Amino acid sequence: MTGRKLFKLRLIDDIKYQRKILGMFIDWIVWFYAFIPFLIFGVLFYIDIWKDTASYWPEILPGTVIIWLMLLLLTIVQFRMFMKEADQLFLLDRPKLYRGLRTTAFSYSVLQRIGLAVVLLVITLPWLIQLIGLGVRQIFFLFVFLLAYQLLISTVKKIIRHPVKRWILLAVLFIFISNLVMYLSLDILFIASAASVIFLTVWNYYVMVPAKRYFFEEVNNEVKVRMRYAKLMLGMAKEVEKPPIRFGKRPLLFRNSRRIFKETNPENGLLEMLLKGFLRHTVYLKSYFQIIGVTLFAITLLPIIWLKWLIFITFSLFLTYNSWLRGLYEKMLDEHFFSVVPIEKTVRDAAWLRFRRIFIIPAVILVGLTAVLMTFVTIK
Amino acid sequence: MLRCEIQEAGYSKNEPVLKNITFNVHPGELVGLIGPNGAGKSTTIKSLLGVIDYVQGEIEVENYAYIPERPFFYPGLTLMEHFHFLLATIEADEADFTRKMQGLLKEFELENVVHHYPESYSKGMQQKAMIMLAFLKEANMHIIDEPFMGLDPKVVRKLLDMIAKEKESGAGILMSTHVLDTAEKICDRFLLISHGKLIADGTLEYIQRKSGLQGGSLFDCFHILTEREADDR
Repeated sequence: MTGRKLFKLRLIDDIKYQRKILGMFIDWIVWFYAFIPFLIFGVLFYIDIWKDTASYWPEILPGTVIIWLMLLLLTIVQFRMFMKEADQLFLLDRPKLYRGLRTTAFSYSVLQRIGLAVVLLVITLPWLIQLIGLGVRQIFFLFVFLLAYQLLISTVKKIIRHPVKRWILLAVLFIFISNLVMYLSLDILFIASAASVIFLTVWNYYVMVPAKRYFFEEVNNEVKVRMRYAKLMLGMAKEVEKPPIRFGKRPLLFRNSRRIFKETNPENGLLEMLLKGFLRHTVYLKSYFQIIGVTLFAITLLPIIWLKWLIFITFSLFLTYNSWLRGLYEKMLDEHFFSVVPIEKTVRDAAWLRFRRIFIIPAVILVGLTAVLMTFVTIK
Repeated sequence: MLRCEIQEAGYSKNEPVLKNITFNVHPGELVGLIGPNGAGKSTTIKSLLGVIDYVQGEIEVENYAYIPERPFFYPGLTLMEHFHFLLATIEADEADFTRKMQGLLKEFELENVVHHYPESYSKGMQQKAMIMLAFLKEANMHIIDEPFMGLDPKVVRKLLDMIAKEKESGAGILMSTHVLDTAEKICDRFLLISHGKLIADGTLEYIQRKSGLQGGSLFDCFHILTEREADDR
């Protein structure tokens, strides 16, 4: 067995596993019927963007925003080394096989980074050429720049282990590099990017690939990556038990367990518990902001005023009457802890009314104000 | 204080786990719930707590505190916030509650991690936090499931002292355990469950008589009674 063969086995196994997961939730015929119209619509839409690029971009936004959006999207990338927990028994003591597997996995990750940069450039090509006015040579420079950015982000994620420090550094890098695009010419960016690609590839090949110190984090990452579709599907299904998330050691919000309500009674106690639980739960918080974010995005981009207001009304009704928030509330109450400290139904019901108000009102105000603002912008 | 008259109980009506389990726990009494793995001890406790799907019979339990075998915490809350929640639900006097809480935190050496998530604690620390939550509740009845798991001898001693104190103050205690030598020393009475049935309910002397092992340890009597019950089946 060589490292390359082992990698091939693991990659094929992963592809089969992901296909099985997707197949479990949606029938292949449904995929087929959903994919074909989507593909046709996508191609027609893309051709239309080429024909009339300007109407697919809000005038108030500068063209460089496209590059920022690409950089923002590429911040999710990371190296995948295909490590498994059992490797500590069977692989760590076989350096040749260990290195062989990791070298192939690293090469595969770099190829994925190249593929992702190409896909993004193809999608954004109409704007890059017709809006910003880039030529073929500059688009190639941009490709190298995006590749360097991905390698840098993946390397930072690998070497900075503290989650808060890592995300702060990633945010700083994103802001810094986004600004470089504005102030430096693409020629200079190309030279710096090409040098970074060479340096980061060589460094990762000689330092990261043979190292064993990242092993346990890589095993955890592999579990997360392997579960990506399963998590997505389970996340969409309300009735399925969600995998628990890790909160770390100490909270960032209300760090010293500061109380929210002064008055101590069961209703305030339960509401405080649920509010803190919600605000510290990244998955709940992400779903909430995703719903608001998508709505704000749609209201900002849609060119017709009545459509903006239709979205605002639909959003308000969805949040107030749809069972999403109620389902989340019930799920938060469905914890074994309540067999240790039970809570009465009347208290649960009273806390629900306040919980609902706290999350609906700010969202509706924010979306409403955006709708008003974008109505004025469109009229002008 | 605790009256349990289960005719049948289990996870579904078609497959009851428990049959004819009847017992009481009186004020100031410490009762040991013992039995082999899978005998139905946890199902009995779940029936008492009302968290099992199918229970036929009558259960009365007053103002209880529960220490589960596996610690349960609310995700995303610090230990202090668990105490805040407990205080809010029992509506106790805050100054009195805080004084007791500080004392227990010191005794269990959890003062420095009170603003941390209990999920980040070691198994033993989590168990200590659970014990604190239960004893701060000032309940009339304590239902304790495998309390000694993962605790160091020092903490076991403290827990035994606390149980003794609660008992003295008139609280009833039902304790499920496999640690029979400790149970033998501290329990007033034993409930022996095997294959979902109550096969003995009485003091150590009664258990010894029933097993035919006069002067025998609870461990040996337990072995004889459960083997005999298995042979009778």
